[in-house]
Amino acid sequence: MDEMNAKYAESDAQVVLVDDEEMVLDTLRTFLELETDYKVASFADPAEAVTFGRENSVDLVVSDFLMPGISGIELLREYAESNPHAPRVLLTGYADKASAIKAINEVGLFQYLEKPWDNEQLLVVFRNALDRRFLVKALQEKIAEIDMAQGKLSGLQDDILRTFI
Amino acid sequence: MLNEIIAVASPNLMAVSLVVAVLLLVVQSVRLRHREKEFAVATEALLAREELATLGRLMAGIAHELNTPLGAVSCSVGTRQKAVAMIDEAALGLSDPDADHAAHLARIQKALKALHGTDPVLGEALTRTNQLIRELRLAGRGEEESPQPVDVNSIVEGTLLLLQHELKAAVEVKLALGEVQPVKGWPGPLGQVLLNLILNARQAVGEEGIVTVTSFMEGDKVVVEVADNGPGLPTGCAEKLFKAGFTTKDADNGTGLGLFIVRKIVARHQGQIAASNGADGGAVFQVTLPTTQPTTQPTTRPASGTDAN
Repeated sequence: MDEMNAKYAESDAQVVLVDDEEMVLDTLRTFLELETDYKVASFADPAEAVTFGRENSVDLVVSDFLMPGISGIELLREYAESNPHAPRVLLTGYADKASAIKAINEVGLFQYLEKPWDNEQLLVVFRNALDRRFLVKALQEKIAEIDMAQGKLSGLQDDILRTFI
Repeated sequence: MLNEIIAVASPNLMAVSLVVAVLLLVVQSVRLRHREKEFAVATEALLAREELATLGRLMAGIAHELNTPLGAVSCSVGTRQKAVAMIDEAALGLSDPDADHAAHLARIQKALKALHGTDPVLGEALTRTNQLIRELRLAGRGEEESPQPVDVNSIVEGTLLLLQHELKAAVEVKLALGEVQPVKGWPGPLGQVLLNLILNARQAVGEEGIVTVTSFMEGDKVVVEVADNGPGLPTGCAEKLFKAGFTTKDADNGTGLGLFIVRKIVARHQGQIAASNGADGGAVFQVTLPTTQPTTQPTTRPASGTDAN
């Protein structure tokens, strides 16, 4: 795992934060800028976050649950389609817990975090999520390499067959 | 012989019967008064329970609302501690002549950026917390003190702040608050009136909808309207709405006491409340309250709503 993930650095990680509270976004962004080298895109308007996900490759998406217009679950469902391998994290208040837990199975959450959050716990969750993301990414690349090699091998086999038959 | 006995006993028998009848009446009357007292006590207990239930619901929303600034403060304090530790470490590194000074300076700059980044967040979080606590204290105040001049518009805004969590996902709130004079009353109970009306409107619109709160002067009275674009009031129920026990909601969502309490509070403010269906079909609740200083001002209804979200 380490061998495969070694090719990805923190600065390769595109993280998306979505919360209708600017205060939460500012706090998280400042914290992540100090502690990590992630590329952070933050959105107070969930519709803009959906557009960003459709147009960019995202490695981790973190969303609030209760937002005007598009709920956190709807947003994460969109990301499950546009960036299926990006782990999805719900960061929400205690009052939303029951609804959030009900919805966990709908979008395949990586983790559910409660507000107010613990910085260290948040970082561990983000790092684990990105480890998984990069592992999948590395695996996908290996599979693509193997597919390509397989294709070349098949071509070579055809050439050999044609030469002898 | 028998006739003689009847002639003697009859007046006594009648007198005894009369006394017994009077006694029975007195006993019945005492029992009735006792039942009335029991009923009044039970009604008060039921109303208190309903008020507590509303307050409980409000508290759940407030807890959520406080979570945002609390989370921001807690995270920012952690960030600042880390930044200060980074500066300490880098400063120590700078004192070593052989160290990579450029790298240490870069770390100090990064830490300073984080310190500056958390400053406005902490300020805003404290302001938000103070606002919430202030509104909560107002909402919890009863009628212990003598009535005072109350600005209805600030009660509307405070109530919306407390209900932010309840409303924001499904409801677009439009505000059309005109210039109104203060009314004489109690901020807590008036907040409870608006809380009930806005929560009813929120329930009426279902998954998605618009709630409009309007205030204006009508002669020497202040009028506050809460309108929604839900299905409206069923035909013929406008009169019964304010009676205890009447509800159009299912058992999980309504006890039929909310509007009864609302009418009681409005009456204690010498005001009136009326319900009707608006031009677009949704329900409209209109509360009319007397001002502290009667004037002969004409109606000053604001033209249109502004988005409160």
